[in-house]
Amino acid sequence: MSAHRDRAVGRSIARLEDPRLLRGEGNFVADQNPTGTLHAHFVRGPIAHGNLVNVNCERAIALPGVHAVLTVSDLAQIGAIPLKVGWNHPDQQITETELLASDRVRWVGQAIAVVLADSLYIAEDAGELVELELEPLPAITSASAAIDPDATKLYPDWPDNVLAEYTAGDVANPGLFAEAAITLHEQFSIQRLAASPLEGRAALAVAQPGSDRVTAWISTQAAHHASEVIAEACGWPTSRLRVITPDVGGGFGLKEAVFAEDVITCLLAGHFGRPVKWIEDRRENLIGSAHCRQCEWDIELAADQDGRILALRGDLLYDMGGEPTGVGIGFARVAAEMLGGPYRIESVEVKARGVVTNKTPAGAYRGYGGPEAAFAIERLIDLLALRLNLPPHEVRRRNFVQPDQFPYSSASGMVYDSGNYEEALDLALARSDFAGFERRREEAQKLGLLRGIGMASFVKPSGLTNSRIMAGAGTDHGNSETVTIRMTADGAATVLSGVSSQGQGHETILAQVCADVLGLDPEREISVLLGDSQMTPYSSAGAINSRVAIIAGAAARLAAEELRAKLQLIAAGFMDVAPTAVVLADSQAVAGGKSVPIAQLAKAALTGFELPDGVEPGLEQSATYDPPNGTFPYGTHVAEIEIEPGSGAIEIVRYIAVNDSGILLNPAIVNGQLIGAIAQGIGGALLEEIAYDSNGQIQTASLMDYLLPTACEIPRIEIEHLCTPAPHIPGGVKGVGESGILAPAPAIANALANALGPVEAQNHLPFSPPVVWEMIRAADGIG
Amino acid sequence: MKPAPFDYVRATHPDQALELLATAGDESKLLAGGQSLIPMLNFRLARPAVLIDIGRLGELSYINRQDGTLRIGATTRQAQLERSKLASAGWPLLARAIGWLAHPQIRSVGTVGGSVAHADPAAELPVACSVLEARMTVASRSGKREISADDFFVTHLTSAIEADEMLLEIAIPAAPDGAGQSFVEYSRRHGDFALGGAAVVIPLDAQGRCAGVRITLMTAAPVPWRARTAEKLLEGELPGAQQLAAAAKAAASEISPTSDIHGGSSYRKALAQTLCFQALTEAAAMATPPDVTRVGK
Repeated sequence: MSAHRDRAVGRSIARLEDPRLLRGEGNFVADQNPTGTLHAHFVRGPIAHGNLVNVNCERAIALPGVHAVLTVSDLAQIGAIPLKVGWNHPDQQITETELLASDRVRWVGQAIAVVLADSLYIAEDAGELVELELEPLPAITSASAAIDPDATKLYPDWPDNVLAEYTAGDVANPGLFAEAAITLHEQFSIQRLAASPLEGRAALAVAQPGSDRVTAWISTQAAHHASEVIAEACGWPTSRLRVITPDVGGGFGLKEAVFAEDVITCLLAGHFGRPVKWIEDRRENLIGSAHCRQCEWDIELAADQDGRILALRGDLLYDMGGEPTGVGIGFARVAAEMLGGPYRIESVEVKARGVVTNKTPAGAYRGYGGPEAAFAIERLIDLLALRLNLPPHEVRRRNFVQPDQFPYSSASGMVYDSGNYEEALDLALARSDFAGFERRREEAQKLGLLRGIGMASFVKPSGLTNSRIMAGAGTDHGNSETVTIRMTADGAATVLSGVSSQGQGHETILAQVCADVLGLDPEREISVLLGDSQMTPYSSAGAINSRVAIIAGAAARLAAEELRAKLQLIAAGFMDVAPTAVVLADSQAVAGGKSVPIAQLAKAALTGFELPDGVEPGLEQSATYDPPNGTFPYGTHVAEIEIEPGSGAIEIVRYIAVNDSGILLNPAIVNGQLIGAIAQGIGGALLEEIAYDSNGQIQTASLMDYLLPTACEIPRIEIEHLCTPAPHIPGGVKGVGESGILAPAPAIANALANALGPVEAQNHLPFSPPVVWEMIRAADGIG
Repeated sequence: MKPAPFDYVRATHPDQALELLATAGDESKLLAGGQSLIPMLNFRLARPAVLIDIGRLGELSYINRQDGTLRIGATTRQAQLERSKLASAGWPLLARAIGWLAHPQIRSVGTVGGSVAHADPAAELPVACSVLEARMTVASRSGKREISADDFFVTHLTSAIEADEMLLEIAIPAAPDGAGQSFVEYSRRHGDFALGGAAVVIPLDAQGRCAGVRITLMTAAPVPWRARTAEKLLEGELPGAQQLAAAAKAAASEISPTSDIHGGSSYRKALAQTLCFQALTEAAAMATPPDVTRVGK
């Protein structure tokens, strides 16, 4: 017999998805072109705010090649109803949104009409012929302007422009602030970003001949959830719509929501009985999908003279744009709940308000809530250190939740599971040679460069939480996953899961988990089928918040264990040993000195010919998993930067990331997730910003102006792993998809403050070269 | 992002392209590498009735040297010029400039003439043409004419090429013996349009003093900006740090760059001074008096 196969979990096996993706043989929505397809194009509003008096589609309909032009009233006649918001909060002003604008437009890019035509070229030509009669209204372009009592109201029936409000924590003891040795009062702001997946949104819906059923291929992170929400808005039973996720080119949270365009594509395919295809272009993605992150903090911190933080209180104003998307004010809520970060703070009170503005709606983006909170608290920690004349790591050390305090219930009600925060900090300090920094600063000075070093620590709730807890929070979905494993007569396994993959390598990691339990080769004996609302097991929320590795991974492990138990029973009969003595390894069942190929056991089970007494035929097992709690990956990053004073250009000369995501299923994939998240974090710190002018016209409608980082702008990321297995998750896995994105912006901000001395602008993202140049002048007392 | 309808003709000879231009005139647009035009079409910012494709006219793709002058055919790909030994032997500034131009994929398709004719003051080749005092040959059905760089760039995205004319060639005169050449710029990301930049040629006289310095600033004005006051300031001076700094200051003081979301005017002005000083310093370090050069040969 050949040498034993290594365990699959923990090995960087090549991704099973890569051969097709790298050869350009991936199957994305846009790759499918059924004959007779109608191409959808959305006519989008040209102004930020106005009454929509009339929409005249006559000239557009008259254009040859145009099949239909529809407005919201036309959709209602077909049976469509408004789209439900997925996560609703108490007293939220609106819980559903119109599929197309009816009497008012509230942001540039809001969809007003849909054109169906024989080609996208004709559809866009027709779109130009749709005549819009608009009466402009004053545009509200910032959250702070929106809460001005005199501000124009976006929704005339509301008392103000506040969509919803949520308070995290309890009433912070005012006495703590009055009596504290140290108090800080600071404002922070984060700019608008766009998640910017490489593939924009996309949907292709095909009516099934001979039935009223519709099959839709949608670029979504959550096939089952999409099928439920879309069917409801179409006025259909869920069973009428099958949603399949083919290969998806990135999601980053944008594609966890269902959008009106998805609904309309399915609705019209069902109505007209022809395939309808909608492929979002880049401009549409930047103006018409969702933006994210933009918020303003106003926070007070109370600490004792040793730097122990006693209390935090403050306000968070979140810029929601014109209406809520899938998660409502969820990101504001999570940000408020996570303001305490990895620190033990007894008293926290954060009032989060989501306010509407005349900008593109805000949606989910990688790690939402986490980066917003981390930027504020990690700047505050450094400002506290400065006030106390202590090193920034010392203040962190004094406030960290300690290893013996887990599970730790934060003041805002989160229960952190496990870890050693100080160990991550120490490793980051050691790897970055933090102690030797002053010498490097002096060397840089000789070259006329300003050098700084900064750190940020973080903890990130990951994998959502128990379904019952989510019900209490107001979401429309729970958090369970079901995985089915089916064996074929040759002893290979097919793993079925309702989650999808947007490039994370989910096929690979699920195969790895099952391979070890079943003693199979993950690359040759396991295939994984994902993301089909009717043909794969139910997934409550799809591929979001690191759920796949944590929740689907646990369900896969449990299903594989049940399948293994059955194989052990059959093998025990074959070899005349106790089932518990049977080990599955190297595609064999082994006991004592004997072995039977798993393929032989599978054949026995599937044919039912040679089964031991009491063993039923069939070889297919399902398991469902709902976690008792989420997981809490954490870490510390250190950024060392050099600033060229003439241009304000920042070069990140070293970037160290220490991360603990528990057990690593596939280290190469984990590192890819961390590097990608850190790259996005750096983009948000230095480059990316969705900008609007004072009339609410978006100024960054292409990737020439919305500056995503490229390989040239991202330094080598030096990664170190700690491993504290999640104590409550089968397999010990914690999330990793989001954890990398929290620390880059505050670490770079703290490095800037270290290089230049403290300047107010370091509290306001992003740090573009002109901003840094102004900071240098402010630090020097110029200007 | 699909273009509005247009007719498409691929010209098989420059004369045919001129015929088509004469007929369609204002309604038409020449397509060469398409690296600026195609996005404009897709955004429907440009809506020509006829697109005349000259991108494959081999007659207009060449780099040669005649009587010391470098002649570049209009449809020569930017990457070909970047790699041309003939060009880098006498005009090292060109390859430096093209190195900043977008990305290799774009330079492989984008043409030299296309970028020059597009007349974007934030683009590298118009700035290089300005500082190297290139002369552009344009033709219409009725004949050819030559236009100096100063006259060629009229304003933002507008050149002196008439609607029925086509750019045929860019001629770059020999740089003075021993002149130092430099091109520097700064952009938000590698390959983006510059926030600022400077191209410099510093010839020296036999005594090592500046003689006929040329300075062009990028993104400083609606056209590539020749900083003539600063050039004069250096005339007859030794190119020491102090003199160069004064010149850079003078150059930046003449401009009032436009603010946009990527940088305000005062920032761009200060950046221009920094980059101008850097370019002057680099060029001065490379410059040698003419007789020394001859000895070197």
